Amino acid sequence: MTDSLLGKYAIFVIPAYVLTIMVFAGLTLLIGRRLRHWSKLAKKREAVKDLQ
Amino acid sequence: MKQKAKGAMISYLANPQRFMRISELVLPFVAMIATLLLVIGLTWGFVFSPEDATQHQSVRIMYVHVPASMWSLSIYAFMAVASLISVVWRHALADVAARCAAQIGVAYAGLCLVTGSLWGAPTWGTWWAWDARLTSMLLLFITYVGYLALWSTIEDEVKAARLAAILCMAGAINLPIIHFSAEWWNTLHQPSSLRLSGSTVHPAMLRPLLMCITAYGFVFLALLLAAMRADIYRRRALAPSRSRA
Repeated sequence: MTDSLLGKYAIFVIPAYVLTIMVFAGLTLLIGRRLRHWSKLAKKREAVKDLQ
Repeated sequence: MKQKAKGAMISYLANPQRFMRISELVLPFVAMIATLLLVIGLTWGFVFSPEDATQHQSVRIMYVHVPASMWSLSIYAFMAVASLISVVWRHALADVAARCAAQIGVAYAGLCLVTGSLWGAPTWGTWWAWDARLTSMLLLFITYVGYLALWSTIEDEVKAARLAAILCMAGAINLPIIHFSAEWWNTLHQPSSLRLSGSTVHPAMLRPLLMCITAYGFVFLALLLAAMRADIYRRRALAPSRSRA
């Protein structure tokens, strides 16, 4: 379907869109993982501090 | 009086605890709007927007290239303002904001260069040319990389923040050069089609383009808030062990 829509430009247009989606997905995963990791650690430290 | 109010506003927003409270509430909504706008904008641009008379189907790259280009410049301008605030007023959040924005800005600048190259091949007949707009954009990408490298190479975060802020402000000189390069020099790259005074883009293409520009903005905001929250948590998690060391 996309091939018939884009014709000979498909090899330029499709990689541009795929790359865009990959960059956004990659950034979301990376930052999301970092947020989960550090929030868990910070909350653990808070809990230890409260116990002390 | 106005100056005082402005100072109070900056102080109000620069409080990390207040930021964490507000961003926790705002982030899910911003993320939802960003996803929705991005899906609609990209689908509109890829499938439903019309073909261009001269560029044919390759014009669809515009919907991913132009927003990336506009936002990579805007993000750097945001970083420069945050760096200035960090140097002058030493607000705690300014460094965090600039550093986190750079991590997203470098991705936007890289995306702009690659999609620009993919657009250049069918329209100009070349993947790359050392023309003023392309070269100054590459310089911006290198500045982003240099800024992040500076942060990661200096262990003392206070010193790293100060040096990175100076580099960022010095690099801001490149922004007007990028913006006006296509007008100042006779370049391969066309001058801006979107201006405050009006646009030369047909409304049928302008609407999905504006949708994509807005979507990229919301994506940036959502990622920035998440990255800043992660960085504040990191500082909180590392603070006790550092003070003991």
